[in-house]
Amino acid sequence: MSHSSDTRSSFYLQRRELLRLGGLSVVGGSLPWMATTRIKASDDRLPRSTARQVIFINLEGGMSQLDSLDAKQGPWTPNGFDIQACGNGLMLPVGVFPNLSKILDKVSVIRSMAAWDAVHGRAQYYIQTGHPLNPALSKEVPAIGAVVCHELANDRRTTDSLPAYISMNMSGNQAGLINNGFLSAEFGPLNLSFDKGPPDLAPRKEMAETLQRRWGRLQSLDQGLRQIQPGVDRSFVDYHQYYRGAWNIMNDPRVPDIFSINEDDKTRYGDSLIGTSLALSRNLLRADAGTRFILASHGGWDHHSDIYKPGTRNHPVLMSELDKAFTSLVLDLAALPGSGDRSKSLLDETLIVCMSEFGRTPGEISATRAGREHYIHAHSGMFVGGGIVHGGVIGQTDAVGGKITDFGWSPGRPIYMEDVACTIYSAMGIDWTKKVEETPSGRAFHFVESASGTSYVDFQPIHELFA
Amino acid sequence: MNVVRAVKNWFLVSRQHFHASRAIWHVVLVIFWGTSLSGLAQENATAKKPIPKLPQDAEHAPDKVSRARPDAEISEQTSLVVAKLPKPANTNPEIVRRNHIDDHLFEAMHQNKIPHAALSDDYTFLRRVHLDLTGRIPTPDQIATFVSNPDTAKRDREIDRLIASDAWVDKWAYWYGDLFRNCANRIGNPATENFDKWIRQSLSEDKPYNQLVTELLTATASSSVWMPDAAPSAYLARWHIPGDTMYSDRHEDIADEIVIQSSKFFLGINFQCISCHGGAGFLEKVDLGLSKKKREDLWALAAFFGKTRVRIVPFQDRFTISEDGTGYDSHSASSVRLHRNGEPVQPTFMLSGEPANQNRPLRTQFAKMLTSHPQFAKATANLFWKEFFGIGIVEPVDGFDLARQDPANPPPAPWTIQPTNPKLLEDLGKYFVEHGFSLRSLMRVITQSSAYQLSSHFDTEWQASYTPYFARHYVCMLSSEGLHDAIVEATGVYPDYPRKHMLYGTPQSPIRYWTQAATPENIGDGDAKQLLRTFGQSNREWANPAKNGSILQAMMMMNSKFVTSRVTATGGSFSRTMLDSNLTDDEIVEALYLRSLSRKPTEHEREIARSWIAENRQIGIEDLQWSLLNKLDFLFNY
Repeated sequence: MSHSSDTRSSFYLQRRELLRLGGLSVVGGSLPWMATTRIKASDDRLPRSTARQVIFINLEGGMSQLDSLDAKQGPWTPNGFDIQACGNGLMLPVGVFPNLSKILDKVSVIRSMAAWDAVHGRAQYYIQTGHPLNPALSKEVPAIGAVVCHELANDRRTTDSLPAYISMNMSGNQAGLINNGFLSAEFGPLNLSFDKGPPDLAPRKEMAETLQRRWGRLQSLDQGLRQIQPGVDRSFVDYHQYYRGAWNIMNDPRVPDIFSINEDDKTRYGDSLIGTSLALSRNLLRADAGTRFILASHGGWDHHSDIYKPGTRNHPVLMSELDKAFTSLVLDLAALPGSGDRSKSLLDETLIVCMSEFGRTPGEISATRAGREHYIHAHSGMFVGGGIVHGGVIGQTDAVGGKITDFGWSPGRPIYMEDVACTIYSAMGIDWTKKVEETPSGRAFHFVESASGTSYVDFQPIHELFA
Repeated sequence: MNVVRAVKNWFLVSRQHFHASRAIWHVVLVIFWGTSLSGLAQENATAKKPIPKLPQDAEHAPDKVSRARPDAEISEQTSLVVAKLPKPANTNPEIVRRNHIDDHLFEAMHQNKIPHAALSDDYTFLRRVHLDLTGRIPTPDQIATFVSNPDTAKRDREIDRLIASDAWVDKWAYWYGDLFRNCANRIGNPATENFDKWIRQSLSEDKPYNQLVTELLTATASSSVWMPDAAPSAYLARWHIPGDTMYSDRHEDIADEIVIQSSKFFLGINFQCISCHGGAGFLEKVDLGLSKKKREDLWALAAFFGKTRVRIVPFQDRFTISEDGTGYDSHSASSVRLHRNGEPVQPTFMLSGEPANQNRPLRTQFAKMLTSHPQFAKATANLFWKEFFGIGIVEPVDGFDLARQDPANPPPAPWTIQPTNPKLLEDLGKYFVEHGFSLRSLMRVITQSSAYQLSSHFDTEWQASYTPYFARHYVCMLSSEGLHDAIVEATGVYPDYPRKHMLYGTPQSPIRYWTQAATPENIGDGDAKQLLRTFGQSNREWANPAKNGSILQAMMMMNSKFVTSRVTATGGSFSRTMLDSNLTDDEIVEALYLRSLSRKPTEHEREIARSWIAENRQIGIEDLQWSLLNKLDFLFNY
């Protein structure tokens, strides 16, 4: 829940709410005054097409901006943070970001992000879809990843055995994992959830032959039964489709390598879930086996209490996990050749976004619980690769990291998830102004909806992020 | 025009309520539409084919939202799965009408010239009724005894035996744990375990359901919830909502939440909509009954809990529930919806309009009014009907529209009577009341009907329009816990999960079947947890159990350690028993089929499987065991 006393922003939220209430009960965009106000030069709307795939690192729970990418020295700052100026006005806790602080020449940081929703479920829904939650439409709104994969469907080759959209450990948050919505199930995420080490998707080597034999035998046993019936569409109720998809993945010769992570990787990426996830993401993109959008969850940031308490999985521990995993991913992708264009690096082709659903309350930690609550008025994120400018820093906040003092980009307002969605679509060569009329509800689905309760906000790609 | 009125209404509501500093009414969704949220996360894909829309399909907003109709979905899934099962020998559509359920259903089919399936054979019936009543597949011994028994009343006797078994208690206690979301993360392990124990005890003594529900609704927890006699209080405490900090409690929100959830579970009515706004201008095309209700009507219902105080002690696994409050404040802030700003309300039971006597315990009166209302019995009958027939007579089971129940008093067009067979539902409710609100009696009469025992095969061409008539049996994927238990039962490799009982600490027998778990969070190894998660286990925090297919599920069945290690002919596995036995190849094939699929192999299957074993006995046995677990008839209850 919001604990803000910022009345200006509260008003902002209220106005938005008023509009959303309207949007909830009428057909979105059907009223003239709610029509989009996006009027721009057409070349402004051309997608940039600077990226071929996306890795979205979802810091679930809400990372404290003022302890991480927008570090503020204060009485609360734990020993060992060692907050230093890192160029372009960027302040980082070098003590917990020792690796990240060395690759800032590749990374752009945004410190002027804001969110609409201060509760995990809704806020997670929001950053996974780029749309505020409208309960009337929630079942049909697809995740950003599903939209991207839908738009890239024509790129898919016969050799692509892995799903276009893969997510990792995304089931723990209150919104769950947002799926394909009204789009076909093939664009929905394959969610890998694992406790330690990558999941066993490929048969173990000694099992491969056995599995081949068993599959063949199963077919013969089911002779005549496992055929796809003509006229029966590829419905989600047909379990055989899942067996076929699973079989293709398990038998792709690239898969064993993709899903194995060696000792060196473990050391460099860190022996953490996010370490494994990002090493796996590198493997997936390196193999170029069909995966174009990866959503990797890094959970546990919701420190309402004991945010710095030693001996727990506290904020500094999570930041260290992220530091290792994120830096190794960036460095590895930078050292690998691109899949679409070998003259580029894989990093040049891959847009990496790393952010939370919201920030945490600024200044002193709470006296009662030694933690930080949810905060929607300022948070930070990182953008790398895929055409992103090197070493960019956008936005500034006040001395305690609570109020944005400089938005750092042309619209002169906070950067919202809708803007990030525009940025992702644009980088992926997708016209973010598209809409789909044919939906189950009959209401048009806008990739990014400026009339979704906020007709005054002209969402757009963050042009300042691009080189 | 409706839309215009809706907008106007919203702005009125908004102006009234948005003077407060924080506009957080929409946070409601996190908790209150948690179901729809998790639903959208888990309902992997909705059917893309346009499906004709019915008014009752709309979930929240007016006329524009559709989703796959449950009957269309189950009809299609049944056709697809059954096409992959061996054809039964018996296709004789003659059946005996065995009770009032049959009278209603077959009469409706007869009058509308709807053909129906034949009665299922003994093997199919036995597997189905075991899975439905106990969540477990029958053992080969049980199958042999049952099939060879010439007694014409053997199906009834088997039903009686199952309903009286411990496995029946396990299945339904676990089911209630999911329904009520008995979640250790919410109320701590001791309370969760106490509650589970209480549910098990209540089920095993067949406590009248009206009494069970009364105990839930009137429970208190005085000094500490660790006392076992406070066990049912976990039901209420679980819906606790904090105020501004974790150390405060938002009493009106808690009261709202308790009556909303209880109305869903026990009355089949979802009052979510009118917990934020009145029905007029919003619900005319969604729910005719609710469209005439106001937000104040819900407050008046919640006012029965107005003096109830649920206080949680964070991080200590403790809470108290007492009756020392001052009453429902209809001018109070909310953590989860629009702030309340209305006239004072008196506790009034919405369905009957009956007011409470303020001088007598309010919750006792509420429980009495709720459990004695006919809707309680009807909604409960419908809830369990769905568990046995795949879809409710009213869908969704928590979506009863009270203005559309009485055929003698039909709603204005285009509305129709909501139950697909109103008389049947009426009679089922009466039956439940007349039989002392016994869940066992209710399940008995349902499973004894020929309608329940119909085959899922359909000899002539199936039409989706037959679905509401229950003209065949519909297939259903096993639940995650059901699949776990079926795999261990089929392979004979039982787990040995330690029963972590935080409260009592006394050593108890380890857990063999997943449904024996009091707190699923605390049992099972990584492989088992992965299996359960992949197959849609409820986390009991915000997600309901889900039954949707996925690629990962197929991988899990083909390649997970949980499955493959149990297939191997080592240790005490059934494969090993077969390998070491003196049985002929043919007998081995038959034994494996019976144990995993609860049926005999077809001639085709027998011949092929025999050849595998002849080629290499061990590999053949293991491959067959693996293949059987990966056949659709294993994964589905058909």
